[in-house]
Amino acid sequence: MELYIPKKKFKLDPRTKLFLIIAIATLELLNVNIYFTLAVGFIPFLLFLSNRQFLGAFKYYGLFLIAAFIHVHRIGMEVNMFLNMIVVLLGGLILKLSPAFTTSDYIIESTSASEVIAALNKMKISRKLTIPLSVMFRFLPTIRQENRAIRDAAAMRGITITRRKFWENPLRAFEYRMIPLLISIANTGEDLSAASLSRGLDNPREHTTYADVKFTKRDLFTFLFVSVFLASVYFLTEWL
Amino acid sequence: MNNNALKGKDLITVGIYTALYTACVFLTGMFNAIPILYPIFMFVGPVITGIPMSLYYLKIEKFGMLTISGIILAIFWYISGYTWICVACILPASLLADIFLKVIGFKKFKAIVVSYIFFSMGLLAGPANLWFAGAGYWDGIRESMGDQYADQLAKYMPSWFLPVAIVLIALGSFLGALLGRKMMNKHFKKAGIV
Repeated sequence: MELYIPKKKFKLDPRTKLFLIIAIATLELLNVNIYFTLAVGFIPFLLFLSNRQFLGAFKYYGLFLIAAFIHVHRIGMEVNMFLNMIVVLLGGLILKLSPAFTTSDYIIESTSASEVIAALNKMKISRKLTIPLSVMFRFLPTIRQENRAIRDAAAMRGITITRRKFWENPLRAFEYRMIPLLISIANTGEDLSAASLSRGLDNPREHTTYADVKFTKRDLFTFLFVSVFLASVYFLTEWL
Repeated sequence: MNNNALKGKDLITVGIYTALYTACVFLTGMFNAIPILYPIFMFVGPVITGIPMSLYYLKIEKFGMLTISGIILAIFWYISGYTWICVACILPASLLADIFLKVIGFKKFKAIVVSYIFFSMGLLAGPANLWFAGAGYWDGIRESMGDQYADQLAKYMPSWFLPVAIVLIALGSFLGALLGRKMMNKHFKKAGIV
């Protein structure tokens, strides 16, 4: 008999991840200088690598570097005004938003729902907030999946944005896409609440959990690395 | 036990429909990338979210669910780069929506319309930054999005636009609630979901 041995990953405490996403979402919006922005964008890249999402990591940082290149050369560009606006705009959006989105993608990939709940419980956050939040995180991928399935089914009947049938009556087409999605989500929701009720969600006593949530050396290392790295980049580029 | 306290089932409902609402808002929010469409979003956003929200309203039986939705939405907007102003917009909007729903009566169409109009005011969170966050925020936009975008944004979103935006949102929410009711009667009652 073979034992299942999970691949070794650099596992962090959910609370450290929460700190990371807040820090990244705040810092990337500060307009310090381009080096600092690049350094902030480098952290999600490392996080992706630590979770063995190699392809995603290189895709993300490649895109980020291209956006940074556009940002640096945006004034010298002499092209069509409209095109210029769109390119600069897209570059700016990627530069400002992609680090936080990438970090949240990493968090969703690397954390199980029960770990998040256990961590939030340890932070003494009311269950009135933690339950909706965890349901939401579980549901956003489901919505995307359902939407894709409905889009494929609709495309088979010619209801896609590229066909003339769609533009003959766009409101009707929108209805055909929206209503099935809502019905399937509502049904899944009913199932989910029945399932969690039967597992004792409403039990007023304190819940036990398998998830092992505690701070380790890795969290300390991450915390120190991020703060020293960003602070040194900041001081090196601002005062030198 | 207190019957009005929120139970697990209600909390799960809150999570599901807040997720749906967020997905719809982010989808229609794509319009914001083009400055001239920014006012249109104020109108189209509430109309489109009207359908999922109508379904949500028909499941609300207790006070507090909309407020929790509001808190979660505020956290989401904050993380996606809007300042404290979005929190100051969304929290009162959802709280007022909750109070009006409670006072007029749950599941009544009149209450749903009034409450949905207030809830949609949370959408002001996006443009409110432009008017209240001051010059620093504008500099940030100019820096990150380019001069052309900033100029056009200033052109199409002057500060007198605030009352217009409120009217647009109110109108959009009213239409959204009507559309939602139509859809409920047409599809969901038949399917036995409501």
